[in-house]
Amino acid sequence: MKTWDPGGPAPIHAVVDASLVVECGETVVITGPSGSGKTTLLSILGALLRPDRGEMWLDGVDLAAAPESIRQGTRLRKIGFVFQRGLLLENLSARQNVALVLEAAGCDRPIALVQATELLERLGLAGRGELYPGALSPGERQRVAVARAVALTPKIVLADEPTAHLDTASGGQVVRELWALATGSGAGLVIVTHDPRVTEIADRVLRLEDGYLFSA
Amino acid sequence: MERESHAQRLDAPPEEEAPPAPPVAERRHPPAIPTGRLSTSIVLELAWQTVRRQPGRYVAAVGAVAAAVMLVLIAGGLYLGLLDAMIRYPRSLPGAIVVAEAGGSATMLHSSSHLARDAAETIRKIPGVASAYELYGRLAWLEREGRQALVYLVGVGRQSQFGLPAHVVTGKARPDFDEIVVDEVLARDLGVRMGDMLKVGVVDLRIVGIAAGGNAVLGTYAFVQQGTLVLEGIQDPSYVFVQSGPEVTVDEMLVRLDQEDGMHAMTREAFLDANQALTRQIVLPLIAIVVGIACAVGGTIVGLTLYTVTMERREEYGLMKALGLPDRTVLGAAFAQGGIATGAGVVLGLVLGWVSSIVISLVEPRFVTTMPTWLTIGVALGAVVAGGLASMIPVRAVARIDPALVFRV
Repeated sequence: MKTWDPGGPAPIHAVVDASLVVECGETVVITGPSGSGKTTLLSILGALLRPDRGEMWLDGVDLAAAPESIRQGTRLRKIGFVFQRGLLLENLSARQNVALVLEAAGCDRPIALVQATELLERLGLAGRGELYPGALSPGERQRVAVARAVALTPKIVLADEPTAHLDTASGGQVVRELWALATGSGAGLVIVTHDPRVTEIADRVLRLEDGYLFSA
Repeated sequence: MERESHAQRLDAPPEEEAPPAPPVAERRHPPAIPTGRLSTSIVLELAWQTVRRQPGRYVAAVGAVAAAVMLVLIAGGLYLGLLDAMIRYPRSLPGAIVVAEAGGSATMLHSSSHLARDAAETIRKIPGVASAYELYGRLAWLEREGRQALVYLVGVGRQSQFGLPAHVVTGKARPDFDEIVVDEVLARDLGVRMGDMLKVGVVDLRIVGIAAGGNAVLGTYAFVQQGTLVLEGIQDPSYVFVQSGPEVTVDEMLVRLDQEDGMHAMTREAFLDANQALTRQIVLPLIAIVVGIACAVGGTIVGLTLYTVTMERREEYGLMKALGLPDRTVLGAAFAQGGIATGAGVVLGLVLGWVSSIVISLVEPRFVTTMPTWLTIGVALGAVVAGGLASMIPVRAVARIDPALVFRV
């Protein structure tokens, strides 16, 4: 459960009751209207927010109660993120953006850059690694974000509206590549989206309404 | 992949229940997951790429540091140059001890000292004195075509090497009767050259030499024959420069000299220090004010610029935190960008300071700058520390960024 108190007449119960288990290699799609608490739920799943009540287990560790240092390390090594608009570091090249998480996890820079290049090539971005995000199309940016998300072979990948700012073709391509890379390595995949096409690749579709999560 | 085809509401018994959490006994204590490596290269790479890709955003910070460093360097250099100029000529005179009029001032350019006419002879008779040279000198006004300049007129003997100018640029060092040797700064001020005439009191003197090292900013030294001073009514020595023999210490010599009526003896260092004292008293507070203003303004601009640039990128800092990069890497990158801007500003400021000091000396030779290594290093280190402190302002802001911000973008 997660409650926000912005100072108004009543606090906002963003997430009231959400029980979710994601198996290895499973794809779960969460839909719901705006303001239903999807972003809050995803923040909790990504160890970016602590729930007011409840538990969140990943690899045998309750991240809801774990100290911030554990949560930070888990975010780096065990959770992959794909945000809206392909959120990248604008002053690093595409290759550097992917290599950054590899380096932070202890990989030497030359090796990190090679692995980053290979990942980008798998995502159809061969020869685009030296470009900066500003020179990439929205679809390319999102694919770089996908590469960064799966670079450390995480346990789970969380994607927040990955096709929100993409055309039909690009969005479909990104989702397929994300699904293939994430589940192919055994990671669970949770996608929050309004896009009905995304549900086609889901093992389960859930719906979040007014803070309650249930099967769609 | 098959999708569940029917919807269920939470209030209906779910067909599948989520497996319960592991029993308490089976729950693992949080493992020691490495929180991410602090790589200096990552920190510097992030900071360097940020500055390199958006150099214009850091121009204000670099410029502020450079201006502050240049200002402090010039102010310090001018101050040290002024102090050095005050004593350049008296420092060239030999003797470990200087005797002045008792109760008088030892500052040559600001006051006068009158010793007895036979003071030097008296001093030479004191046991332990190896040599004693009289310096005849007085403050006087030189005049040329209605323009005046204050000088300390030094009377030199016909044969003695004592008291001559430290360095002659052109002409001769020892003037004859009705002749004068002036400092190059004075020559420039009055617009005079070799052969021109200057009036001192009622006496006209021809310029036969132009010297260097006699510029004491507040006045200059000029050299005439001792007989010329006599014409001006100056027959008594102002100071006597004494060198003691090896059989007696300087302290012992001071005691012996102080016992003579009308005399006050001091070490050479104390004499030079006294000649710098007034300058120090007047100029040093001004220098301190200049330095304080430069630091305050420079530090404020640097801090505000870095804070603004950092806050414009708070989304990226939030992203780095969300991705799990360790705090020290994220904060280190924020701090390092300030370090890069500060470093560039220091280098630029030092170069501008050195160039400016040369230009100042060329444009106005009266103002001589002295920039010893310790001044340069001290200014650079001070700027680095101040820049580092200013860089902490954006670091504190970055530390407060919520990583969940990435989902609110």
